[in-house]
Amino acid sequence: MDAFPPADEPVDPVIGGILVQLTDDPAERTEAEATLRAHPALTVGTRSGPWLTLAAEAVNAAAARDLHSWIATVRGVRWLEVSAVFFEGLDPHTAPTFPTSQVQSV
Amino acid sequence: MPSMNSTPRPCSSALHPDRRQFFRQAALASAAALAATRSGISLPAQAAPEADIRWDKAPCRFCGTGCHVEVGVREGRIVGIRGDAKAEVNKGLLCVKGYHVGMILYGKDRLTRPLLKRNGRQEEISWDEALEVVAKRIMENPASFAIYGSGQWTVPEGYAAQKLMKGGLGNNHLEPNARLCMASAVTGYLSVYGVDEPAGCYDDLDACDVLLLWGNNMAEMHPVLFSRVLERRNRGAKITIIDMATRRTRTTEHADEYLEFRPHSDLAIANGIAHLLLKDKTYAREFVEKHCAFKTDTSEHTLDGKPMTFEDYAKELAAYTPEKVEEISGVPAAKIRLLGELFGRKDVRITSVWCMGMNQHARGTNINRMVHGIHLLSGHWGRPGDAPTSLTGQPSACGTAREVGTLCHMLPGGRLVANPEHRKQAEAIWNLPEGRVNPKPGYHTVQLFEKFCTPTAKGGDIRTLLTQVTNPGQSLPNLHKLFEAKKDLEDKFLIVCDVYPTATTALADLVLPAAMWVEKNGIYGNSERRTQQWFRMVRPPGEARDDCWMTIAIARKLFELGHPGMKDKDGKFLFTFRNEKGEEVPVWQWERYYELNVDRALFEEYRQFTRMKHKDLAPYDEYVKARGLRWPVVQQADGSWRETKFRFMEFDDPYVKKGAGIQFYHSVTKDDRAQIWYAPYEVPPEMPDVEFPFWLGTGRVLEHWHTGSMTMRVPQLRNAVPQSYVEMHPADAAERGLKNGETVKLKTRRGELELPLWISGRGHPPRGQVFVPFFDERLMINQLTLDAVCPVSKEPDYKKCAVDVQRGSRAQAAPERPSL
Repeated sequence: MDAFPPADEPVDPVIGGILVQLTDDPAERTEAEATLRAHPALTVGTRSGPWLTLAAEAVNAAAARDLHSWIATVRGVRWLEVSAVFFEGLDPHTAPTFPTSQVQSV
Repeated sequence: MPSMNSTPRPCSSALHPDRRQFFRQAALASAAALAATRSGISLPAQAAPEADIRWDKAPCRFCGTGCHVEVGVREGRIVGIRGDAKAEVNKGLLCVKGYHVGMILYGKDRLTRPLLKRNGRQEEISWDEALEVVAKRIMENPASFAIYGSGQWTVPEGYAAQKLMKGGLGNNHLEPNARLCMASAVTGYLSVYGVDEPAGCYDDLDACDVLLLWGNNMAEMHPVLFSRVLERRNRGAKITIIDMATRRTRTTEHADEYLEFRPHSDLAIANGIAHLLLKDKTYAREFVEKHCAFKTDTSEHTLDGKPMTFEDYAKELAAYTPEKVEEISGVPAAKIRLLGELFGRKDVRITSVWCMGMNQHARGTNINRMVHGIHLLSGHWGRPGDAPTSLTGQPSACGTAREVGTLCHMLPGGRLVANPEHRKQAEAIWNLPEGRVNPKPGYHTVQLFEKFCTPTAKGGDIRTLLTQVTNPGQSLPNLHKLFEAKKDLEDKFLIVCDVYPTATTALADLVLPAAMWVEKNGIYGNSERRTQQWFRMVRPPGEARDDCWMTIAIARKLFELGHPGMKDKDGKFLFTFRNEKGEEVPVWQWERYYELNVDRALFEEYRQFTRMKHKDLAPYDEYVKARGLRWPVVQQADGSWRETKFRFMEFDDPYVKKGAGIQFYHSVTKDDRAQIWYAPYEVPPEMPDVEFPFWLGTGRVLEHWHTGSMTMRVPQLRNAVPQSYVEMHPADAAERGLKNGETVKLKTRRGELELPLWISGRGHPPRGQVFVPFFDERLMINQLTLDAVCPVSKEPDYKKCAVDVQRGSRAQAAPERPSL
């Protein structure tokens, strides 16, 4: 049986589009935008009212989850939704296989 | 809380900086597009630099929800997936599987060449050799050939298999894996309304005040639909969610009420609700008198049952007092009263939903019937938001398995092989000589695999089995008996058409590499009667080819070998297609398969069947324009095509007589009435005892779909839940001295399996129960499950059997906690 792959096993890069809904407080909105803008893995797009667009980059699944969770905790962020996932870097020669030879028969 | 210090590094060098910038811009554009959907505002300066990405629509490849995705293709490869904001089903939203669906094509072990087993090894052969092998096996004994497909077959794929088997070979041994997941819903609908599939649709989720989940972990299994309800809540709507289940799940976290019942006792709960409606006189008397009749199950457990009077119905229910139901189910009597009172109220709208919890049930048909019955009895039926609605687990379980009718007793369009008139109709559409279609139903799935795994000399009269788009080597119950026993049978021949190596290909004598999803044209039908079309967007790898082509090519080989069934009554090949100039195109030659749209041609032929049971489909080209249409789709006076959201209801269904209000026009009693069924609570076929003291339940997790053959090859999904595990109550573990992460041995009467223990994991079984997901082919829990079936639907009960849990013999790393 396979051991569990580590959570930070490198995978090919994924870039996600994220739509953030900010709170109603103008000061919180500004603060949230500044906080998100300072993050090295985020590209901040346009803001209109409570809506703010982001591009998020992640090199592994755990990092993507952490980033998603972190955005949700930023003061001034009310809600976020993933809009798209891009993954051109996924290389079939490094993509995972699945060990069918290890099918168990007790 | 994760901080910025723990956040990701920039992307690896696998993506060129220019491409990275390009994708950032495309990601921002997609978010802007979503903002426009959510708020109506248009965010400026977000024009997507997408000149070299071509986007096209497709339904998601996974569950039966039928979300639409937009697939971004660049230079022949999928590079992006976004939710389709134009799709009514998901309105731009996708679940974690949906966002990663494009990656399922790119596992490095795609099957790319036909493989024939010789001397114990699978060796590459040509397609021509492979087709020759298949055709000769069939010619040896056509009656002992069977095809096992799935609810992942596209409509044309299933239709082609139907025509080959029932129209060509006169052989009804054709089944879909949907027998294992929704057959009880079908028999439920048929015995209540006389016609399959829900009357309502997802719009009910937008209108209900109460969402009642019958053993349905909707938050993980149909997350986009569940989000639709939660979003209403977030906007301030008051929606009461009641989770009736045998273990706590992520769905429970959002529920106002959690009613935990003992496995199988939902039968008693349903009777308890009906009992209270009668006792309190809160049932919808006028509705019942006008629109309903009563039936009871019998000891023979037939689809038709036996008529009963209202008085007899009331007498049978008298015993199901809240206290009695509590005794059977473990649900407090007060909560049973709560349900009874709720259904007795006229000021709320109640939608019940269910999926495998009710269907994979040794009395699956009865519990389906009874949930419909509660809605009919209480009058919570016939208005948007008042609906009993089954959900499906596969993308075309409805469209292909149920509507095309790829079951051993059916023909397309709700026709039955046993009905002479229906056979004539099929023979007329297929231009076959009279008598070609065999009147005797074939073997249902469990029987079919029993016959395949039994030596021919001992009555195992299925000798050659071809599977398409499914993985029975992992998904059948009691695998040692129903699949692995084939291993030692020299005279049995297994042909597997698939995209990746699986537990099924491991035992195959011949493997045929298949194209998948947007590598081919396709049509699916989702849970709400919505038919959805897409076009091929990328080429399959190597020599992988369309399943539909395989079926036609096999038929052509049989034609060339002289099988008389491959000709229609004019002597023409069954699958004859002509281009716009009227010239015949030999589509059985792969290089010419896409010279015309075979899907379109097959669909137009199939459409003729759909009007026979008011499941009318529109012309193919209407689906090209739409994000799916819900049948019946009926042409209007102005030539346009109108879908139907709510069947049997005059305000929306064009087939209801004017003035009728509600008309069950396929009533089994021919009087426009639906049937309210009574069935007793019965004990399940296997229960915990001294030797096997726990209940074992099986199911799925959010990140993996079915047997994991696709999702386990997506790094993000595999890393999220890398391995199967067993969930157990902490007190049960402590009592046995078992610790989180250690290996435990599960043992049933059918087998043993060692896997890691996860205490207080994602799901929380009560004391005396364990739960194992079935996605991991290295830890196949179906080696242990029970193959007892519902006597009416023939669907197995995967949700309960008796199991023993002991410390395992091997060291095991602690399972990583899935956390997406």
